[in-house]
Amino acid sequence: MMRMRKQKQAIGILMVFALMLFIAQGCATVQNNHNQIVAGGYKTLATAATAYESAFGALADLYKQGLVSEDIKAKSIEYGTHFWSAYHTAVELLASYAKTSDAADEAKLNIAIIEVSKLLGVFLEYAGPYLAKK
Amino acid sequence: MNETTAAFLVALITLVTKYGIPGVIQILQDWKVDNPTIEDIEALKLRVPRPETYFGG
Repeated sequence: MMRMRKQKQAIGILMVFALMLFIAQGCATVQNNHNQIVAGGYKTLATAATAYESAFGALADLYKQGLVSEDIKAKSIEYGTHFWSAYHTAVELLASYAKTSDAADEAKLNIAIIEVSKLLGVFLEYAGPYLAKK
Repeated sequence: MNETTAAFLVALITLVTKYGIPGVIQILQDWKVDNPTIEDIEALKLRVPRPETYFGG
């Protein structure tokens, strides 16, 4: 029980770090060269994916235990779907930029990563209190 | 490695020591990738399924 609580706290901490990482990477990518932009984009999106997986995995556990209502589940899916869409757009843009190094693709990628960051933040802000109760 | 990266990694290592979270380990592995290939980037797509799938939907 104690270990479970610690794991849940750690998931919350992980989310905070993921958001910090997003902001740091989002700022850093503007000034760097192609390889660094691709690496920064990859690490940012991979970290976002881990935060999303951790949060939805925990929410699904809570739901199975009857600790999360249908309303919370529905709202989480709504926020998660916004993130899902932005994330996959950003991954496509990263793949495109990695192949072309096109400046227009770089600009689109930066905007997409900022959007992913924003939508992950919205979702985690909503889900955080429920995860903390677990 | 800049200060933000170092602080981030130290914090994650602390979490791993205390809790051993698979997610933290995954992030550390991701951060080791300095030259991601197209295959690495394509693999990102599989890591974020639609949210309904977590609830059996």
